[in-house]
Amino acid sequence: MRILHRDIKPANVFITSTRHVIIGDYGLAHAWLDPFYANFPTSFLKARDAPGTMAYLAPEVLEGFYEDAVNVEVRKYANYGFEADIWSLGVTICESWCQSDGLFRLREGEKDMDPRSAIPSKILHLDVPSAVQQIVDGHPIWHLITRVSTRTLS
Amino acid sequence: MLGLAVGPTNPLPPPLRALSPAPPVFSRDDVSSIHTSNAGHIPDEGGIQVEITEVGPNKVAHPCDPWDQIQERSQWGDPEAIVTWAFTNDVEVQTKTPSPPAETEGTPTFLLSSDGRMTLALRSFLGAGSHGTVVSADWAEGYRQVAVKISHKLFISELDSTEPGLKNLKNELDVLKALKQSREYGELGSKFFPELFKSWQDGKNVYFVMDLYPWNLEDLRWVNSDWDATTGDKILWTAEMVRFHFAFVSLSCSPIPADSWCSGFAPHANPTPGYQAGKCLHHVH
Repeated sequence: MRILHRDIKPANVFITSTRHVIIGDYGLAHAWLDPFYANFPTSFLKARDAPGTMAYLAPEVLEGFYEDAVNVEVRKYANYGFEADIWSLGVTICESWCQSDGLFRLREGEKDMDPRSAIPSKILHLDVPSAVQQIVDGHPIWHLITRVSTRTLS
Repeated sequence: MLGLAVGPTNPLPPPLRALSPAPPVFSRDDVSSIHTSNAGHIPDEGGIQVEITEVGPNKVAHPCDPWDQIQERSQWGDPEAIVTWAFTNDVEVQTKTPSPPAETEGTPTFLLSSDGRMTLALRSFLGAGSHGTVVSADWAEGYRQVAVKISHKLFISELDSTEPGLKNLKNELDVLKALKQSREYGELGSKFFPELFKSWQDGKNVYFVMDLYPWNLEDLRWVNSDWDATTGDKILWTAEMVRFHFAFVSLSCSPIPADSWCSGFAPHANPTPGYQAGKCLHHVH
């Protein structure tokens, strides 16, 4: 199943009545359903357009998103793969754990900043409330994004 | 490698008031009169035009012109705006606003699939976005509640000028069908895919009828939470006081037993180096 979801966020992670997790809303998904791609390594499959919710986009997707939104005429597309979904999943988990309203969402006064640098900067300099400075496997909670992002789908 | 596990630790979970499937509030027998005709708004589409004249105790209003509703598209996506949701060429549709469910109780709008085999009583507004509208509905033949995603073709195509929105819509349909096939084959991981019961289209809209899930992570994020001192799990309570443990489970190369309560991502994980988030942070400098 070669499907890149591209919009993983808390609102799209559903929980069923039997308490299973369901990934929903495939409105922005990019799929390689043709059997031609069946034996392709996932690392070869790349998407170029950049839809999604900005606060959950991986930096390599943000690059295309920003150029798309600001300068349509001179569009510079992104080039990203399944890792982008893992990034979004990391942000989703971290937000849910911290019960935060958009850890990396650009606030008022930050809207004019370049999201390509502003959002990764927010990630690096995340001010974690003391209440959620939990340790998971020996790492601070905000390292989860990095840890979750260390897997390549294959 | 990390996994997300959401599930109860209590072997006897509390009764799920909001989770029990509500009995259907109507059946096809309740629809006292259905008039079908091929002379609808878009006769060249070849679909049937259905007009429900009376359903149970509720009288229906006059059919509305979907093209008039589309003119209201500037209001879509604004949760504060009074928007007109749920219109179709297949059936008469009442004009509603995204009011609380209590105000829409007892005044359902009915939707009939293009082949006439699925009757839905639209119940409450769940959300609206660039694609259109999502509403909850009672499915008479399936004896369950479902979510109906109504994507408006014209609105999508005009909204998305950089890439044909209709192509995305077709793509979504292909993806959902592929996921449905995956579920039917019982492929690994397919239980994490949504279930598509039926989809059809008319000249203006595309309809996806999918399973209705009681919560999402965003809902849980806003309710009261606690910590389990013994396990370190995050405990989330829903509005119905159903307790969830939100736990990070180390899955590194250790498969979780099939009978475990854990239901998360990738139960059989072989961590593969190849992606480091730090690689992407070079823009910070």
